[in-house]
Amino acid sequence: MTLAELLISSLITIAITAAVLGLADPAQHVFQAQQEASDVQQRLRVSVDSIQKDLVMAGAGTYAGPAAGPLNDFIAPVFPYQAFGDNPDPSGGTFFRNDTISFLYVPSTASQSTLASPLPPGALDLQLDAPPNCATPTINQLCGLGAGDRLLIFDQRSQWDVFSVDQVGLGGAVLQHRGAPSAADFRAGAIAAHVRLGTYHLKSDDAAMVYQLMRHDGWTTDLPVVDDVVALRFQYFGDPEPPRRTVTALDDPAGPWTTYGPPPPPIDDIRGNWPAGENCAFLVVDRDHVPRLGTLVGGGLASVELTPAMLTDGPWCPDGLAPNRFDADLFRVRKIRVTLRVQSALASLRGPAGVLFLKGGTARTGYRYVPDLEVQFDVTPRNMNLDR
Amino acid sequence: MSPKRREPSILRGSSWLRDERGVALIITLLTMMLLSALGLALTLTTSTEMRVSSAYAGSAEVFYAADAAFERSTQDLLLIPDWNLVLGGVVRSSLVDGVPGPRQRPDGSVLDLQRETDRLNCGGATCGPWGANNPRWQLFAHAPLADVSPAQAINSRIYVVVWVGDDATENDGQPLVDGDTTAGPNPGEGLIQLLVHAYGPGPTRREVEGTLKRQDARMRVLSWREVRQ
Repeated sequence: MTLAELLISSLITIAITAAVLGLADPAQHVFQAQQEASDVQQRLRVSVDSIQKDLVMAGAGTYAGPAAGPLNDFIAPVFPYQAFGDNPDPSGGTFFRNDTISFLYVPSTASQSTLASPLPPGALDLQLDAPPNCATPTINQLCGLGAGDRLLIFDQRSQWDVFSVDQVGLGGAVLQHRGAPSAADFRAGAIAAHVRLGTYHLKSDDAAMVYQLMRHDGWTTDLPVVDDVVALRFQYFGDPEPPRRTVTALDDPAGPWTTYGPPPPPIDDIRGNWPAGENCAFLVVDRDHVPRLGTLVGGGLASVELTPAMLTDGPWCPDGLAPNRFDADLFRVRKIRVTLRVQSALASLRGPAGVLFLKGGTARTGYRYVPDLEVQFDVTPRNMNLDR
Repeated sequence: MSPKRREPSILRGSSWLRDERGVALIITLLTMMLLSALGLALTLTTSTEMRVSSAYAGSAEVFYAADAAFERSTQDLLLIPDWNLVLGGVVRSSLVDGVPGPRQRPDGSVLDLQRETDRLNCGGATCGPWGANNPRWQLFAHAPLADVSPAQAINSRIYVVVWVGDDATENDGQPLVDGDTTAGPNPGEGLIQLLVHAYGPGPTRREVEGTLKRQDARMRVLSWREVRQ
């Protein structure tokens, strides 16, 4: 083989190789983009599943004892803001964030009881009654509650707070509370139950380019659930009818005393800062309980959207002075609409910011685009729709 | 006479080095291997994605099946005036596909209803923190989800099983009797628990449980809970 033959054959080989690589390169990019598209879909699924499993349970209340029933017979089980932890939003006067939701529910648990003695503001010594569903107390557990378990205490006055069991002793327990000391004044008979709680919110840091779906455990820990979630929005839909009294007398222990929401006190009783016989959901007119909230127009039998203005204008439960007060319209919530948007983790697979991409990337050709995926889904918390 | 051309040193030697027959086959085989590897990788990615999305869709379907069985059982319980017959296993829902025993799950595996009931009841021994008041689970409904609708409007291979049990707040020590008040007030009177398992293809299973209360000829669902391990 001569040198000329070698050079010519090399040139031909290089030319063919270059042509093949020219064809293969876009194919490789498309292949890489498809793998990322699968990853985006999977992260979307995880986000939806995580939020759905908590919100569908929101509002599950105690199912043992005299006050058995959903939480929204007493308190709001979902809050459109960070409701727990060291610095809850209400302490700063914030009562609505469209990218945040907090929830409460009582899981399957035997730990459901009532306070055997009052728990005044700031107090942390817990004494519980021993109903039949509670296991026999030991030095390690009180009605099944052990150190580290979260405890929800609430009452018919719509007072509520979340504690953690710090230590258990024979016949009692010592609690912990995050943030400012609890301001609630619980009387003996207030309901105490093991609780699951948390807050989903969006972490969006443009400087660090960090976008995450976060879950706060309601105590101290805030952990990312899914990366590259660039948009999160919650909308609330509720019962157009306000809470109304049922025919059940207020002194009948069986209830239910209202269609939903907290029962009012007897006509002449004063509860909190409300006039005699009234609470955040009921007024007294001509010595009769009537709804304090109005009927929402446009709903008919269907649920209507509860706007941010409706959820931040009061009336407040348990009253306008309580640190963890909430808007009484939150009792209406029946459906939560969640909008989620997930982007490609690789900037090289995102094009310029626009319709396809909320946060721009560096891709300049269409075959390298992995567009953002956005999904909208409704969650109907079952326990907030039990009278359907 | 032209001088004899010298061959490059690499081609001098044995004759097989100069024999190029079969090179095309080798190049073709190498190319096919490369393309096959690419195709295999693509197929693997696609099939994995399909399996993941299929499992996700199946899991959601099984969840709604469990919820549907819960609703159906709630309605059936409302029509039974004496819950002691239910707790004793004498009366069951109309959603029953024969005597309890082995059933074939959608993936072909066998679900033994009696064995599953025994497992919930810890093999007949009492389990749970309530001693003599521990619920004794009884089969109440068991059938393919398609049987929930008499018109066969549901096209599904999911199998649902519903158990009932006495409420944990009872104090009568009789898990087969609802709220015996002979010895005094019983906080569990009129309360019953439902436990629903829905079985989908593969290992997919979703559980829902709830507590029901009969009050003034109405049924109140006091609590609905999805159980996740």
